[in-house]
Amino acid sequence: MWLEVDIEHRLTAAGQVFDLHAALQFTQRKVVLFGPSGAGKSLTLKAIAGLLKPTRGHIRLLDRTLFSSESGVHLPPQQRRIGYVFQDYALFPHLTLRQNVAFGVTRGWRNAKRGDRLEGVEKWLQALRIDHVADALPHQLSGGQRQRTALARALVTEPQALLLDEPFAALDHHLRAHLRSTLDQVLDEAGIPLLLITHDPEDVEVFGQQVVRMADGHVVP
Amino acid sequence: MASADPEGTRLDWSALTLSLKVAGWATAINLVLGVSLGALLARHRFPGRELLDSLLTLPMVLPPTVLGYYLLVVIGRNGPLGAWLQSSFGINLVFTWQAAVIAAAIASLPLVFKPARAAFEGVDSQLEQAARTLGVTEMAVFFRVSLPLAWRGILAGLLLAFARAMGEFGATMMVAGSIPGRTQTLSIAIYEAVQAGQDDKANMLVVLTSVVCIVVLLVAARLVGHRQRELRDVA
Repeated sequence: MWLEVDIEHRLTAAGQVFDLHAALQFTQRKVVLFGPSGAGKSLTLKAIAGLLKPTRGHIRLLDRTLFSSESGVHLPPQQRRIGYVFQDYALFPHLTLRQNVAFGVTRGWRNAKRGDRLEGVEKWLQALRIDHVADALPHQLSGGQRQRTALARALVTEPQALLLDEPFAALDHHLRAHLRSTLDQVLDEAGIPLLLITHDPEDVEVFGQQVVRMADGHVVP
Repeated sequence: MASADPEGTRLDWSALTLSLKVAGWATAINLVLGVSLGALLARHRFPGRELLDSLLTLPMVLPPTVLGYYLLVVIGRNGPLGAWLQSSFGINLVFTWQAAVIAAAIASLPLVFKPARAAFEGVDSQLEQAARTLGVTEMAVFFRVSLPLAWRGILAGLLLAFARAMGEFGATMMVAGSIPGRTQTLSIAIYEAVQAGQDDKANMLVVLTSVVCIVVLLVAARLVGHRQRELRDVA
């Protein structure tokens, strides 16, 4: 088991109350969290990455406790070593694609310079076949190129696990099948565990070694 | 008509350089103070947040004389800060150019922190979250993501604040007075020249001030316009 999640969280917005209770145990390397929008999938993903602090429960990744309300552990996202690919990729609009990929492996208070060439960065740019557009800004790229940039940016930091939030939802329909197989191939080679959330059954078919269904904030058997 | 004597001309330039010095320092202070406060108010929720925002906006709506009076109460010989500075360091701020800097900085602070807050709020917080998941420190998130994306809005505010600081009159008059060559800024020199009936001198100073302010506004408009075009390109 590489990831164990058992968290409770209550959200109140505009008088509405949403209760999340996610109890998940991931044993296979490729896991899909499947369910309609509003099921609590994104909240769960954010809690795992440390972008949200659950009210109660615990999260364990491999041999590390990332969160535990009992022992007061709440690691900041910086220390979790989890790659996160956002639904709309969240690329830094002021940085070139190469600078975006170099972001996590550049220390200090300044971004990598446009001319900087880092070995790990170049390797991933080539592996994801985006090296020919590496000097472009994100808004100049196609959806597929942006997605692969977000993926490279996460993978170059050598995370222990990868979280993907609806990675194909922002793409044209005819591109999805092709990009699914590309992504699957790259992630198989990288060999890191991944958790993908989606409401698209076709994603389940490709990535779902293990499938967990969620609805209304709960895991559905 | 009074003729411009050599003595007068020398003083005119000293008023301009003093105004530039005071406005420069005030803007530098607001670069740090206004930007930090803008970031704080945009990204952190704490009790009294909107009250703090209102208090910091006060200098924009209060009569400058009221601002000057408050400042005298604080930094004057009997004020808490003034008494402490006097007893600890033997420093008296009142009637110095440093007092003019403080007056100009406070008067122009809202023009920096307001746009700074708006600019930071305009930065997609998901980008900051993405930076965190990539393992960089909070300071790096600020300097590598938030600040570069909010920068143009902040810069426009800084230029407006510089122009406002150049024009500061009321509060400066009260805390720094009007000592030629030492605390007599452009706007105060104009007032003094008109009072003394030195029309030529007043005319020159007025034109000088207008030119400096127009240049600043043109630069600000250019930066803001550039930002809007950039955003259109992205959209």
